[in-house]
Amino acid sequence: MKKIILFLLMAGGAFSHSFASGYQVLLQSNRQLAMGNLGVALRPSASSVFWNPAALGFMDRSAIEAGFNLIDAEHNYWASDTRDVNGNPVLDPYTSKTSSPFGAPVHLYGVWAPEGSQFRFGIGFYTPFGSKVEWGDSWRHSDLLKELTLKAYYFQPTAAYRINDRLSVGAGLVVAFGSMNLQRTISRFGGKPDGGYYGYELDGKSDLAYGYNVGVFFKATEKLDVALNYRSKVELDVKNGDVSFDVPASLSSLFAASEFDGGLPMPSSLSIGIAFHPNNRLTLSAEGVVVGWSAYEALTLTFDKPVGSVNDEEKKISSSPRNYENTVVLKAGGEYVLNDWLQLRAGMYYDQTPVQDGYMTAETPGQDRLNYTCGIGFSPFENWQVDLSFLYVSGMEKKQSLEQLPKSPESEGGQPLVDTYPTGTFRSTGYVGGLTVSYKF
Amino acid sequence: MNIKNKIYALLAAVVFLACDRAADVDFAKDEATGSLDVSNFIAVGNSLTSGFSNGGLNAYSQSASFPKLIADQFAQYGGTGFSQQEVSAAGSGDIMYIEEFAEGSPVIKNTALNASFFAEKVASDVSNFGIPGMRSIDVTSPHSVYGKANPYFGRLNLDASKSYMDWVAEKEATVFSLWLGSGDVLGFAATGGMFGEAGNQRIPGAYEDGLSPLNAFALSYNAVFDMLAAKNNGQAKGVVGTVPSITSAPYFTFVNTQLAAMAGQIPAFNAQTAAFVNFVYQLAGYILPEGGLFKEGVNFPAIVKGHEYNTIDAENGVFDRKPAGELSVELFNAAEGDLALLTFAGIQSRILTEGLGYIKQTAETAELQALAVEALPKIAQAEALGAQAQALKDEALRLGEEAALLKAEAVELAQQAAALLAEGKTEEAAAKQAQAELKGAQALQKATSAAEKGAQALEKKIQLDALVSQIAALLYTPENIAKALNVAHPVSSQYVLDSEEVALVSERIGQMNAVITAKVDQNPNTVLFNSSELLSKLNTDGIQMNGIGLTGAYVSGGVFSLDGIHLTPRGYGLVANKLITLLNGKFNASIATADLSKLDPVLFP
Repeated sequence: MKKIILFLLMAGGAFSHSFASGYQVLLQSNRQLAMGNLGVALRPSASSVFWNPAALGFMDRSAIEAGFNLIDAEHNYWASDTRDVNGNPVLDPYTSKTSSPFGAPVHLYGVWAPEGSQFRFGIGFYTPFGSKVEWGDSWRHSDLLKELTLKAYYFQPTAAYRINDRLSVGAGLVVAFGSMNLQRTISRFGGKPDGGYYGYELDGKSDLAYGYNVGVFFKATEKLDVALNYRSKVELDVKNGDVSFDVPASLSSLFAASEFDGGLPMPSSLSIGIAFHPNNRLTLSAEGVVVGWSAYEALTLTFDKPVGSVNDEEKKISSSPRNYENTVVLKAGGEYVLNDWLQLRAGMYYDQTPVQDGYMTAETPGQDRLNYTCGIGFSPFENWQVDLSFLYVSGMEKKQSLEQLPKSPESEGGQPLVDTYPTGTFRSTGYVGGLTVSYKF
Repeated sequence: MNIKNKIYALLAAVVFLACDRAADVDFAKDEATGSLDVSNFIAVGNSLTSGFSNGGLNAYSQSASFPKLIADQFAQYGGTGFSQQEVSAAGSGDIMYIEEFAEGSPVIKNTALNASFFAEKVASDVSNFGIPGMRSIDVTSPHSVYGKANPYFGRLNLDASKSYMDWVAEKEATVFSLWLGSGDVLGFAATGGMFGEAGNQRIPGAYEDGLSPLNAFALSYNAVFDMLAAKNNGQAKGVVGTVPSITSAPYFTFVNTQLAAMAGQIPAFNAQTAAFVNFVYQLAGYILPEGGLFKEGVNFPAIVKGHEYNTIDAENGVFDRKPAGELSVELFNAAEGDLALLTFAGIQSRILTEGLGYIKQTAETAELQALAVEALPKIAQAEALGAQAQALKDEALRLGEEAALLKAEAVELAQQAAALLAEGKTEEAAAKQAQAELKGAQALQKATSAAEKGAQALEKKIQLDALVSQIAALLYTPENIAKALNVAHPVSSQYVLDSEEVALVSERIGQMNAVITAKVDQNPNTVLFNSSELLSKLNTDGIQMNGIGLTGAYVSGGVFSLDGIHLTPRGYGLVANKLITLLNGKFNASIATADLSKLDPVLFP
């Protein structure tokens, strides 16, 4: 009977793990967000600590800035690629969507502009990556993902140096840490006696990791600014994270692992931007970003004990290919100063998915996205500035068909890896509102 | 356009976009259903249709009957009004579950039998007409009669005069499933064919636990088929299942694998021990094949054949299952296709603890061994004596025959001599006479030898008889026979479907499926579900669906419930999906199948 149990576990294919795709969160300040989420070449504010430290070189006063965003994101799923027993496509009305918990990332910046110095010093705290997806355990693909929470916190001391009236450089040291929580069901054991499904949960915090953020800012003409920014890749490695299995008690000896190690790369990004100031009321800016997603090749988890086996050492390691590709983000936006206390802003950007066809997972299903932004800024008091923004993220529908899925090696049958990658159509949308308050002194 | 208007326009655009967050589900329902009208679905059949699982029927198992799962899918395309027999959470009771794993093996228990389930009367207006245990030949029997024989039918609130056929005839349908016939062979197969083809005779002529006669099956089956096909003004569409090759289900196959794994734990017989076990079985009164049952090498278990049942009082429900009459024993032979039934799993451990299938090791065995030590040389001696007597007897007979031959020749010669004498040929006659006398003398000599041998043979026979009575007196005492009966432990034939019985079942299934296939071939509104093909695929390659692997294996395969014959919710889901797929193919439809990953396999504690 031992053999029977072991076979049971192997029957459904590899015991696979995966999490987030395209887990970038571009919510680092609401003035820039409202303008198409660009800021590399914009004239400086405290949030330039993030956007481009070099811009700080032209900051004439010290400032602090604090804000947050409220995210209402939703992933929708339609089982558009259901097959019948013979493998023929059928018309399946099954749909599902994630519940949309509000996420509320915050950002904080401070810049010190010592008078008479060409140096500027800044500090920033922001969350450039993260994800929160709750499909629930009644979702058809809850074995692939029930729930995911991914957080990355960046803390960045920064310095900038104004070389001359037109050129400035800046650099920041990124100190990052993160956490992840991943939950999946194991439906091959059936439902639990008291309802719901068996499953497992990974929960871990990363070690501190380091990176950098460097830039150049160049005032080409009176009306045109050009800037370059590079943020390095940061590897967030979880050591001794907790893993807990909820399986039938009679099988617990096969799921005795309690700790895991794993890592996730926070990709680099290289941005080039220009900002055009035709008059002192209007700012127009455009930006192109290359995000180094190709760093995310596979999600590899190493457990302290074999998973799904008592003593098969090979089952300690689980690796699931992601094969992300570098992406390009194109942004455009503008600001119009209506009067001495109100500014109007709008923009849009096109965000490519890093996910190759067939490698789309349920974590943050990869689709190309069109993003529309707008917002206002106003100064209620002298030296105070309030920025409000609104972002609508419209993911384009993306279908993943059975034929697109990566296949198991020929030696293992050459079958599509349906236990790692879902088939069907995904669409993601999001509403994000935000508020940032800044004060100059 | 002023700024204000621009803001309004932007907000309007956002609101417009905001309305549409979902993925577009873009197809028309009628596109999905093709020429199929899924508005009113009914299911006709036996336990497999009712949702019977783990040896019983309860709300849990019924909620995943394959008709219910099909109806759930149809409901997305306009199907309505599907209902099933009212069944409580406890249901029939006597439902199998795994209590724990002991040394890796599941310990299977049963819930209490729920008598009140069968006592209550429930509404008969349902869409799922699956009645556990029902055979084709039961469909015309009125409720007043069949309701007593089958409590699942009996609990329905139905007129006494109405048969199953009448009941189904009352319900309209646009699409149906018909999966009937496995009950007509299952009773026989599941009881190891212990009662023979005619069944247990509890009700004479009812074929209970027997094989339904083929002509009776065909008559009933065709009637049910025609009645269903006539629904919806003759336009009802249907999917019709063949009888699965039930002997490929775990109920019939699982224990064989267990026994094979056990072989190493059973002591192999040498010539001596085999002779001893044969000796004990013979002493116990079992009829052994020529040359003994047990031979050198591992051979077990022994199966008792030829049960007879002598106490039958159907009127009062008295039914004595004790064997009577002469019993022969055979050895279980998996290689030849004998199947140990799942029921045997319950007593399998007794092979090791009690010598089930060969011999029980007790103090009595030791006494019998002592007896054998004393008796076996005597038996050998008797056998030698018998052989000697037989040889002498044979020799005497041969000599006698030769003497008779010589005597006949002598008579012939004497007659020839007399004839020659009458012709006056005296010299020639005298020569013949001399020859005749010589032959006569030879014949006499042979006859004398024969008589001597005969006397010797008789003497041996007398010695043998004396020895045999001596042996009989030594062995066949009531005490010794009782001891032998206590230690000789053959397995009752109810636990085994032997290869001949398997062949009988297979042949009957083939015949029934020919009837079913012929009906489907004649009716373009129906499509055939080849259930054996599905089972065979499970047993060979397995099936992958919704990321779940399925095989026909017991407990771990995901398809068969703990009773080894009926299915788990996931197994019924597989059937539902197969039927939907067949309907899709036949009627140009494109209806989605159920998600197997959310249906339960065998549950582990």
